Amino acid sequence: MCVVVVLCFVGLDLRPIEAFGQSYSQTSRAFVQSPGVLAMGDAGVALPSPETIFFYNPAHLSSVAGTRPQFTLLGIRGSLSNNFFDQLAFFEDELMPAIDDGLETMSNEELRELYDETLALGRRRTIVNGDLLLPSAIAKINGIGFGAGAFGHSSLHYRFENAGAGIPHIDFTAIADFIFVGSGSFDFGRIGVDGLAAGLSGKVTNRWLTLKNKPLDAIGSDEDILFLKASALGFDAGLQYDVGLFTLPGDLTLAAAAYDVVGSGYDYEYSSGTSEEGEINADLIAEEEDLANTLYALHPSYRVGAAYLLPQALPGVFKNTAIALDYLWYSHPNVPQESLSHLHLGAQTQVGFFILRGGLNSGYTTFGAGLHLGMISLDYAFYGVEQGRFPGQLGSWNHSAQIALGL
Amino acid sequence: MKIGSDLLIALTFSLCLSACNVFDGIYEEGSSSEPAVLLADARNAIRDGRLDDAVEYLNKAHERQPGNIEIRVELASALLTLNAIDVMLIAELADEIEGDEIGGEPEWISKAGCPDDLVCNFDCGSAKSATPFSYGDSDAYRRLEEALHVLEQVSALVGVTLDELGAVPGSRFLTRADRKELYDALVDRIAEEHPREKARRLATTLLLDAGIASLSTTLASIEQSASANEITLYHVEQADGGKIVDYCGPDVAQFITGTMCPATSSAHFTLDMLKTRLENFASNRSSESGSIATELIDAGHELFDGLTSGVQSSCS
Repeated sequence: MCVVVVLCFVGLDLRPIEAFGQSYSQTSRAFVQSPGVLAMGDAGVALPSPETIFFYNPAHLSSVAGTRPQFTLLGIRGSLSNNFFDQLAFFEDELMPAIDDGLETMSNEELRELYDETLALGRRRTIVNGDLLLPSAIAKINGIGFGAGAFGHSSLHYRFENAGAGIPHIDFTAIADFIFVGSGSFDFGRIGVDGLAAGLSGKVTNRWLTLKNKPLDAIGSDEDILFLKASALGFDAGLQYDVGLFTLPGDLTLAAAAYDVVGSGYDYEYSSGTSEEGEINADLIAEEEDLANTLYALHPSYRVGAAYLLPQALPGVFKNTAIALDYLWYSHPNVPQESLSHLHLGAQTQVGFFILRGGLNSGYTTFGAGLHLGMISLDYAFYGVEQGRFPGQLGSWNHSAQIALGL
Repeated sequence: MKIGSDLLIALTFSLCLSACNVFDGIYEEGSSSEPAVLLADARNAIRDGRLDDAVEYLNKAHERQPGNIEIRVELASALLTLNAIDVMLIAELADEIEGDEIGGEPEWISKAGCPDDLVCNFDCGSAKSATPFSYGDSDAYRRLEEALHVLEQVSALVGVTLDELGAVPGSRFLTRADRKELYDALVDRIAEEHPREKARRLATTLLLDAGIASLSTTLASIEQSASANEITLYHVEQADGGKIVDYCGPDVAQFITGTMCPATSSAHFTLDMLKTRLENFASNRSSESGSIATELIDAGHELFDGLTSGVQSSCS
């Protein structure tokens, strides 16, 4: 508490800075999502806010950072798929006991029931994330913005498919990332190009990963568990242009960002493991390293978008009312999608400390709310994500919530 | 009342918004002529539990690109799933055939010699009992019989690649080294068109589908031939207490050469496919026991060892 008082006293802005990025189901990029943006249909490359600097558009530093440094000291975020709790109950009560007891002890009828239920519950990918927002800071000096921060990200996702002849195939991955980001931006208004800003972020990521990608009958109760490790250096670049060509009652901004366009990529290598035999099978190490390097390689992704900040209506009641539109695409998507799936549209308005948000994420409804009380901010989002090829084909529904503290 | 109806409309609208996609209807699933797009649509239909749609899209994709291994394997798996033919069904059938769950009352108890008008493939004099049975009395078999045309289609879809590699029904069991060689060759062949990790997965699915289809059609051919040749199948309890499945008929020679010789080869082929998949794809298991494939292999050996006793010398 003493630290807060001292920092307040010296005039530092303690509002939390949040961060967010792409879709976990489409890219292996290390990033931290924000419920605030997910609630807006995952749109906002052209809508600068403290939440969008480190993983979204580093050019936003020019708009958001001030001469007084802003800090986030700690935050946590979690998100999970709507169907997670049904699956968790099935996993704990039925699947794990069956594997522990040995599938061979089950009757054909019991086995069929288990496999059928496994496939029915797990056909759609389920994602669970937990993130830690470690200390970060932003500031601007003479038109040049600076920012740095550390983040912890963890995600777990899985799906069951048919391995042939009724046997479920498990596709399970758990990832833990420690990410350090440094960002910089330049306001071109200082050299006569008004409204234009450019930014660059460099990220060092240390990643630990474990996976299982094989038929259920090939997994035993004595299955070896391997942990693979990889490090990567990646760079994101962003542009932001406040359009001054039209006489509009509000502010129109255009923006573009490219992620991981330059970088070292991941090279997954065996780090440690657990085995009942005492020694990890060498074939398994080679197999899982190969799988990880194929499935979880780092590839670039891109966003372009526009945002329109409306003039303040009913002065003192509605603030920061904005509409944002993004088009997002991946150079190597996990699921190639039609163009409308890349479309993200959102809106927000603020009433006092309360922020209401809504949007369309690839056509699926999103909504959420935020409560920003100076040093503490709370955000929640409920959002749909397209897992299929085109909007409406294979949707999944998710919750995301975050609390961030300016200490 | 007005407030109530307004709330209902608002609730309905909200539910629709949260369940629908505003772009619904713009794209039509399965309408593309691109095999890769049809394959993606089929996979999404499977994930949505719509197997009929998936098979339709995969058939269209297969028509446009018959040489695509991935499409053939996906179609084979979808056909088996749609018709509820899986390892559990085969295991159920094997259990029924091995056990005494189907068939009539025991015959020949303490009776020496075979019936006068029958030739048996076993020593009737030493048998403690012989109980006739028919696959046709098994629910599992009847389900297989109804889907024979599907099994033939599956065999054709996955058999092409195995034929290319020379993995055809033979008269000998493959050694473990042979099976490793076959698996590596299969993965290499598929990896010509797909990433290696996908090739491994496709190879194991192909082997499983090929094994299940081969085993099912083999059992069906035995039953059909037995009926045509007036062969009766028996659960035979031997003097030492062991139980085998064997057969009698007016002329077993025709049944042996016409059915059991090819069936023996098919059985070897089936078991080899399942072993190949198990040994190579699950090579990191510290123990190979406990797998449904292992159970099937064991059941298959027990079944065919009984059925084919004495056949090998006749065939050769």
